[in-house]
Amino acid sequence: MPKSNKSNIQQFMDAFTSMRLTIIVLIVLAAASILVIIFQNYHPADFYGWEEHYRTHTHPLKYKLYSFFQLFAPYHSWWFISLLTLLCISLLLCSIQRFSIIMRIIRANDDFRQETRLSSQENYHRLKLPAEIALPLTARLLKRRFYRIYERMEPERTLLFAKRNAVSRLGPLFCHVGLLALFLGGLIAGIWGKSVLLWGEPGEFIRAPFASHSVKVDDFTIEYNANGQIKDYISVLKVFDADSNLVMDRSVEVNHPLRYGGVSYYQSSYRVHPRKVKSATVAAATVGRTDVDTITVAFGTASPIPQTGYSIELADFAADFQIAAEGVISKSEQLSNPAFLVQFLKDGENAGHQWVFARFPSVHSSEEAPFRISLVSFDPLYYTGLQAAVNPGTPFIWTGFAVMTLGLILVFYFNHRLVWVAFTRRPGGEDEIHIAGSSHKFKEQFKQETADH
Amino acid sequence: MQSSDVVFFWYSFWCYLLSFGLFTLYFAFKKRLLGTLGTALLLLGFIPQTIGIILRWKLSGHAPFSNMFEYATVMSWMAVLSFAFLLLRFRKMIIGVFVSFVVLVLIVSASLLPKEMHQQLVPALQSNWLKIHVSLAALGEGAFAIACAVSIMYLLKSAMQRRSRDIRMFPSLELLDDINYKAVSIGYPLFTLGALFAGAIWAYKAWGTFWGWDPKEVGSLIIWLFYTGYLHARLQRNWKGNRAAVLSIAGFVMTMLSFFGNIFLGGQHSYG
Repeated sequence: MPKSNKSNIQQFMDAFTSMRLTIIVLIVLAAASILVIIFQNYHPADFYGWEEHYRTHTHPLKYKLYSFFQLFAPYHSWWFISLLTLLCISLLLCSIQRFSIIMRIIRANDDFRQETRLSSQENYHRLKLPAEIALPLTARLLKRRFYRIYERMEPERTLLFAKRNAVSRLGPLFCHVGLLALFLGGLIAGIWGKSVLLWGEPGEFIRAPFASHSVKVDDFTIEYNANGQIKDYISVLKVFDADSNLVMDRSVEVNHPLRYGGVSYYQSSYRVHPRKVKSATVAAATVGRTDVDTITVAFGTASPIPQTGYSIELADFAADFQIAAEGVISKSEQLSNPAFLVQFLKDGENAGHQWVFARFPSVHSSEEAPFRISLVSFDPLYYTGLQAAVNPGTPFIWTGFAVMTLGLILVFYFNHRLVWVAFTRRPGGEDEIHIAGSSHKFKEQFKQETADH
Repeated sequence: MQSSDVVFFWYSFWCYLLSFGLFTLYFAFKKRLLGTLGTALLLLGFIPQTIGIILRWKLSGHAPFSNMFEYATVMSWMAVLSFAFLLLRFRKMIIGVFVSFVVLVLIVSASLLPKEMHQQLVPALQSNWLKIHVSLAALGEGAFAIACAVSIMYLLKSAMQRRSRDIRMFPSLELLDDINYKAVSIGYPLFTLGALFAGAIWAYKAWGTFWGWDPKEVGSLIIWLFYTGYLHARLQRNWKGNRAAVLSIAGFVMTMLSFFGNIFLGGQHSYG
């Protein structure tokens, strides 16, 4: 029994480490990814209520098929994860299996070859030169090219074995291990990673459910360039630890996240506050007067109109003004029809009001107002959308990048080369030199180089 | 309104077009002068193209890698640069016939794309990773383009040899095969580091996730898997010659599909 048992393991190992399996898995993964892209193009799953939509709008049989293959979240599906796992096992076993072979190749220091073995090799050259001149010359040439040289003396000949960049043989192993680390990091992120989109208006405290600290949004601004195009989104944040001590004070921009206590905060999105603005600048014209006062008023505060005894206050705002049964509402969170309720005050007493519409300057909702107010500009109030994320797979992913980069450098920028030389002494000074070389890669170029020398 | 760099783009466009014509004639009539002129025009076109790229960089205030026109331009620029290196290294002008074809495909694609310059990059693109990610990916894909060009030559030559004829103008099959492999060996690490790693690191900095299964990400992954398969087949299974050439051509076709996939698939990488 033990014998057949061993061969079973061997069979298992062979099946998993075969190049054929790896190539098939790679092809299936590539083909599946293409199909998924096409599927997602026709069945996007990024709008509100998509699940309900497809359940009711797809033929039940088709829907069952889609659900079985988890096509709406394909990269977390059983078949995709199985394929990745298969690839990982194959990579791991392949690396284990090849490790000892690779180490033997790297450590080799006694691979001396006699002329009879060299003459059958691809890059073989034979020269006639006295050994006492040729030997030091060859050694010097090889040394200058950073070869490590081993020598063996035999009665009739001297054998040289030289190698260069043997360590490059570790390259594929590093690539595979790096890739495994990347997969592992991705898997850990998928299982234990957490991410949440937090909305905060300036002045508000926000807190991710998995964080022990809280974050205060001090301010949020959208920067524009001269042409009115968006330049940047900036959230000014303060981080407070569990004991309410201020521990960090800095701003977050796109591409510049904030990290604290294992949680990263990314500038991800923003929303318009539908019922508030930061401030508005209005022009107030007294009825019967030609000159106009321009006043900037912060939301919810009163500002005097100079030399009139009146003040105005921004009492209400609707980003997308509409009158509904319950009164004024904002139909959406878009600045589609911004409107302001301007309240007039005289000696602290209510002295009339007026709705001012940004898009319709000639519309006046109130005739009793002592002034004609028109909007000059306004500064909307935005919520910032911060993505808070914890990714415990990150160290694996960084390790994977580093190890694999090292592997790629070893594979592609170092080339394992071997040179064998046999100096045979013949009576009468007719010494012969037999040289052969081997290159792990770029055989054609190596052939040219050896021929040149 | 078109910016002034586009004028230089058109100079290079006409140089490359003429160069391709001359190379085709060179291939047909085997007159050395035609080849020399083709080479000269290809290299001449490189000058206004370089000026155009630098000018666009200056005018827009950011690296010109932010839309498809700019990317296609940089890719063709890279292909011509690689040709210059190959010419110096192997002294085989004939490679120009196929390189100029690939360059022409790239520059014609670029010419059909909108050329408006975006002075203001959307905030997500304002990062040094844009330069690293896009330039390395374009360099890698430029090398894949060269691999594709010599692979076409390989297939033609080997097909002729099977009919007991030969295209003597072409370098030997061994050399073509070696250049194919070498070009992929240059392109693969650049593509891995630039398109995948730098892209993932940038995505992590900007959005907090290394990988988001965006169509272009999946496209790049497929290209990467494909070339990974190519290298394994070559190094482990000794797939050479015809098979390696077919793989190399298929790989570049995929690269082009992924590039134009932007137009129909959208996603995080569709920036005009």
